[in-house]
Amino acid sequence: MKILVADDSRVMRQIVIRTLRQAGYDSHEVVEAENGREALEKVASEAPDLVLSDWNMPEMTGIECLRALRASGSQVPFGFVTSEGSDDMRSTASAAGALFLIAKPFTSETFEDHLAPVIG
Amino acid sequence: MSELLSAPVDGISGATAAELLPEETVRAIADEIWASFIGEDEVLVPLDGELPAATVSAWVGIDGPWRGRVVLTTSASAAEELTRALLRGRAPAVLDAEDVEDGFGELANVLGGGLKALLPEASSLTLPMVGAQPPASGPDEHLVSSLWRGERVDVVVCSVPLPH
Repeated sequence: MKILVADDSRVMRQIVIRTLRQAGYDSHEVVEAENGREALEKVASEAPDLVLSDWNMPEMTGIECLRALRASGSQVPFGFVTSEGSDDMRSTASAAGALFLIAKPFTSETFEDHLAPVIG
Repeated sequence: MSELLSAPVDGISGATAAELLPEETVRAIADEIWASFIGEDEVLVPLDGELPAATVSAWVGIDGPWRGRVVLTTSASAAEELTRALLRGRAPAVLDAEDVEDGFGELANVLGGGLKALLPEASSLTLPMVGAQPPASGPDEHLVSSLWRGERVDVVVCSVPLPH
């Protein structure tokens, strides 16, 4: 299993990866992307089983990345991990094909709840 | 930071920062972030302390019917310790300025996102900025001061006036 973590903050990528480990996903390979454009490229080159993406990033936002993936035919499971967890954004994410939206701050239990149905 | 360009609309546009995001709300969101990201036993004590002459600030803008800014300010040493706490065991022995900018900026980003989500109408958040001097606050500057590990940590929420 491979998980792609996209966030423009290196510190936040580390926190997400640490939380994945705490949630029990410590045997999964993790690859990182600094923005939506890099995430888009790495979905093609790395073929991850799940994408965890921030929303607000330079170059290409998370929602733009998701829409580009779906437009290209990719159905890679995609979830947001973002500081912006409003109802409006949850609806936008869902309409674009996201499986879930985890709002920051989060806990390992939140990760388990959202990731278990996707990657076990 | 990109300045916020949309004109206010009727509704929450006339409200002050303190009316929209009162002190107890700011404290509740900050406490949740500290407990989740800094450490379970890390607390922001609602007391005033002295800010040193040299401080660092991280801020994000909120863009919507209400246009505002959330600014986090503390000493350079506290910003570094906060970043170290965010990274926990993965922090290098010596943090460089880029790491602190990233970590402290992300704290402001999460704080701004948490507060933005409580506004009555949908808004967006700008990317975080970090520097010694944040942009000047509007007249409704709303200051919430705390102590973390004995160091003062300020959160300022304010409206952002339209450019003239």
